[in-house]
Amino acid sequence: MRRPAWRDAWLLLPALALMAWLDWHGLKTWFQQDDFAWLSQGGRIHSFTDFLQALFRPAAQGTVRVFSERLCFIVLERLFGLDHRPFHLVGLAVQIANLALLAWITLRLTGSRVAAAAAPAIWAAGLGLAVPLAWISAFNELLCAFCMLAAFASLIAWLDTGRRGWLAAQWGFLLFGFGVLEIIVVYPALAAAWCWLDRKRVPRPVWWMAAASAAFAAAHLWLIPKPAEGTYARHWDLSMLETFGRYWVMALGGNLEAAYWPLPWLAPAAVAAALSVAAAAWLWMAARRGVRLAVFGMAWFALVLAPVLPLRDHVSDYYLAVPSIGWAWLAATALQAAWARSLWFRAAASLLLGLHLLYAGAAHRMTADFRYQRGLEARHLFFALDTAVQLHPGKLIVVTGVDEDLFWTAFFDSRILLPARICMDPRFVSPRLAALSPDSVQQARCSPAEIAQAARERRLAAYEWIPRKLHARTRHYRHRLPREWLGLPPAQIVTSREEDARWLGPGWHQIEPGGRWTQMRAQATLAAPDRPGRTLFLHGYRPLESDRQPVRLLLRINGRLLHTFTLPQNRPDFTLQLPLPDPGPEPVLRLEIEVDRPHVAPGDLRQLGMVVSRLGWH
Amino acid sequence: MRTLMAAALLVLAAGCRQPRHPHPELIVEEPSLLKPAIDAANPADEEQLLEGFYEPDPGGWRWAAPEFTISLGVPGELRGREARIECDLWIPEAGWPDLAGMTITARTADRTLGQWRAARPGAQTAAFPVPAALTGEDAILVDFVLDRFIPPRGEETRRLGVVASKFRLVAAPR
Repeated sequence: MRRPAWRDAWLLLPALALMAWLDWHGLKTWFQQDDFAWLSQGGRIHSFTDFLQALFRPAAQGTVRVFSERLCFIVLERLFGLDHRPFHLVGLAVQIANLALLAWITLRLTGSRVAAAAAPAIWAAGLGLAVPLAWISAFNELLCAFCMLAAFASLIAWLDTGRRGWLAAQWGFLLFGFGVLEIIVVYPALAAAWCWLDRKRVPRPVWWMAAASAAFAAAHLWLIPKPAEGTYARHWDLSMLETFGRYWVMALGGNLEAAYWPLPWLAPAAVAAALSVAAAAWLWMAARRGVRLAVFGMAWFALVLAPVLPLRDHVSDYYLAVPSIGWAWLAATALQAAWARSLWFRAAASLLLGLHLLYAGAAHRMTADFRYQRGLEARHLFFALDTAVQLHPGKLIVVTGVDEDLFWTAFFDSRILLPARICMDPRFVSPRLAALSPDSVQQARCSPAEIAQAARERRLAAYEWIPRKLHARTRHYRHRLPREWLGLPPAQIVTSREEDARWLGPGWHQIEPGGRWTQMRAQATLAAPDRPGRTLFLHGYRPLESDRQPVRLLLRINGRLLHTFTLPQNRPDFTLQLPLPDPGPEPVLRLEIEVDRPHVAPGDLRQLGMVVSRLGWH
Repeated sequence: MRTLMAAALLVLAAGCRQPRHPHPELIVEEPSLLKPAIDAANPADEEQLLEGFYEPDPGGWRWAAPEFTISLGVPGELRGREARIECDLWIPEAGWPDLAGMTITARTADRTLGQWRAARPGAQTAAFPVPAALTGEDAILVDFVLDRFIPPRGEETRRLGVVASKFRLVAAPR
């Protein structure tokens, strides 16, 4: 084993140069997709309980990545707001540390400067790193790679020196990694594999780590609900082998479409096939010769990829980020072995490696540049929407012209950061988009009743997105609103507003500060919900009764009892939220509110039920 | 070293979080005041030609489709008063066989303003009454619908209505 020294730092230069070239745009990519949800966490933290919830409440397919997603976004957003550069600087720093660790481990285990320079370069060129360096939400891949490489480096140092400090460090990186990315659970298996390859036995502390990993995995699987259907559903069957094959081909030959192949006559699958044959031959030779890092590299690739193999319908290039370290070791040790042989071997190895770098690098660069372009669009749309909200405070903002790609890149998620209701007109949502993700599209579009109400009340601002700019279209939009929409009752009623009085039926007293008193029974007319899944809400107030007897509230919709509710006996104000039944044939929703006991106010001869300030559905 | 790092963190915490400023360059707002008279050939009036106008021809005129929409500002002196929309248009002789007897109907969102029938080719002015109920706001949007048009023929792939040149909202004649 060679002991790496500072003078070996130059071994990183090829990898750094490749990263600079391939990720030049990627490292300048603005926020997109899930980034907005993570950026919004800070705005919801008002207490220590909120902070704990922000850190530990499962989100995004039931994950709890405390350090890589929660803390990282909360702290950097708090310090720098919507400036993406500090986020990328942190990612870049972690990735440089990863490359240094990879070079250090390779040099230490092979003693070869060729292999130690090649492994980081091969990894840096791989397709798997394009998205983690460009998309900030995928930073967890970089930090997870750091945890695994640092833990493995600690293992090597512990095995060499026997110092318990290195064992403690390994434990530290593993436990930290549990809060970074779930695939860290395979680390004890990797450590055991290396110990067996290196020492032909697995030390007891490694088994303890395996027990900790198993406990984490079990807790994660059983305590946190996982999607049973959709793209994140898990398929524990033979399809995992096919999924492994898809990742293998993608890692070796990239994923470019025919129009972008670097050599038009050579398909990525052919490159992957040639490299697979060479890799298999080298693996066989390496196993016979005892080249442990080559065999370990293959084990690393397979084991680290294993947790995502059940995600048959969510094959993503960035899931290759950490597994590709194994491929880099396999390829770098092959290059080292070829370098020690004749010129023919060197030429053949260089040719194959060159093809890999060409195809994987081209896919990497294209992926990074694509993310960068999407980031530009996202930035323009977000700040345009932000400006629209500032120009029209309190108004409903309806946007048309957002295509499918931009919907996912920015529109759907970025609205969470803006203090206004921003939505799409249901008439202009493309059928393809609506079919792809009906739930998300339903959330992102306004109901006709909501749009019509805003138009009537002059609090509608309509915009059309024409790439790079939002164009105001309010007058024209209102002119084109279907006449039948304008006659719709509202989706929400503020009882203290005169203009909403026409939708209140019998049983209401006059407007007072904070709302209106009902009689024992009162009626209101709302628009029928436009889709299933809407929620009825009612903000009310009823002074506490001196006899402390419960008061029951009955809600009927179109004559049918929806719910019976006992008003709180410890505080006068309350908010009621109830799922509405699926829309029926009735064009309107007649809501009847009834209390079973009148409220007696000294000196007030009216029949009093309760005070309602707002009611409606959303 | 620790002091330096703490100071650096303090500086970052204090000074780096920029408030979000409006980006007016990313937004094209509607003009707050619309003109009561517009010229279809004038690029400055483009914003008020809402739908149904083709790109200007090399000669400077501009064909409208069989359905087109414009917006006109309602000046203060016409607010709440009866008015009239006048439309200067031109029907080329060559198109007359298709357009002879053509009727133009002017409508707002929920009511018909009136109809005008073309009795001859050439330059002429169509006028449509606007009731007082529609001049209460700062703008009026009007759809024009033609019952005849010149269909696509040969290299001309457009559906051609009339050459509409000027629109104006004026006080109704007493």
